[in-house]
Amino acid sequence: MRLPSLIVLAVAAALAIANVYTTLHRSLIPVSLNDRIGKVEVRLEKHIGIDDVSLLHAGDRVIHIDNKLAKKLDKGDWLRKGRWSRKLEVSGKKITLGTSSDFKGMLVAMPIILALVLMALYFPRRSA
Amino acid sequence: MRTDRFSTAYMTLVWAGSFMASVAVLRLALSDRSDYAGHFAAGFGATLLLLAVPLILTRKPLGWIAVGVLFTAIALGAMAEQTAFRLAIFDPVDFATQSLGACLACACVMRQKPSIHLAILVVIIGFITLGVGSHYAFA
Repeated sequence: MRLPSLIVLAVAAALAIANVYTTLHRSLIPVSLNDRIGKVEVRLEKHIGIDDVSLLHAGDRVIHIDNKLAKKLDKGDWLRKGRWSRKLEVSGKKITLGTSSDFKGMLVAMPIILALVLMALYFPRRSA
Repeated sequence: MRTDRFSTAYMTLVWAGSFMASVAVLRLALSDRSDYAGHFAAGFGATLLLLAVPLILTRKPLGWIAVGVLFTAIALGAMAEQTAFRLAIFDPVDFATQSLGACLACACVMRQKPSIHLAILVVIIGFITLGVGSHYAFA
């Protein structure tokens, strides 16, 4: 495979990995926390109730989180967890963090799309 | 001439097949998020339209030109996501998904021998897939 094709494949791979990680990050599993919640903000998107954006303001960070998780958190709660831990302490009460349907979907979709990009790159050229 | 028509039809099938398979995977795996399929389709279609220009102007497979078009398409997609399509926030997943569509478009075209016929095919498929993108994004 020539270098331009490799670059396209590498960019596609980086984007696919980014999608998987970003959707995982919204579960807060990879994040370490030891802050009080300033507010939990919900911003509406095109499909109200489905792709709304929940923003967690904790300490000096603003983190995009899953909507289901956002419903369990309130302004003033103290959040404590270690990086990659699934246990989140919310004002002393422990909850178990789960992954979203977006993350599970990306885990399936991204490798398949990458395979399709690879297939498109390898398909025979239209000859002269 | 017959070989030419056959290879064009064959290519169309490959491109259409890979595009439809990608959209189907996104719709099935992320069934409550039709906007992801919309972003992918829009990235694919818009990038095909950009690729039509060098396909008319050059005679050799696009190669590095396609890489340049890819990065241009990604940058334009970032600007669109930051401005016209920014409702709540700049969503990195929307941006990455439409950029993946751009990657697939480049992968389909970059090794093919350019011609006016190929450019016309690319424009037609580009507009159709942009329409698909609008449907899923705003449905």
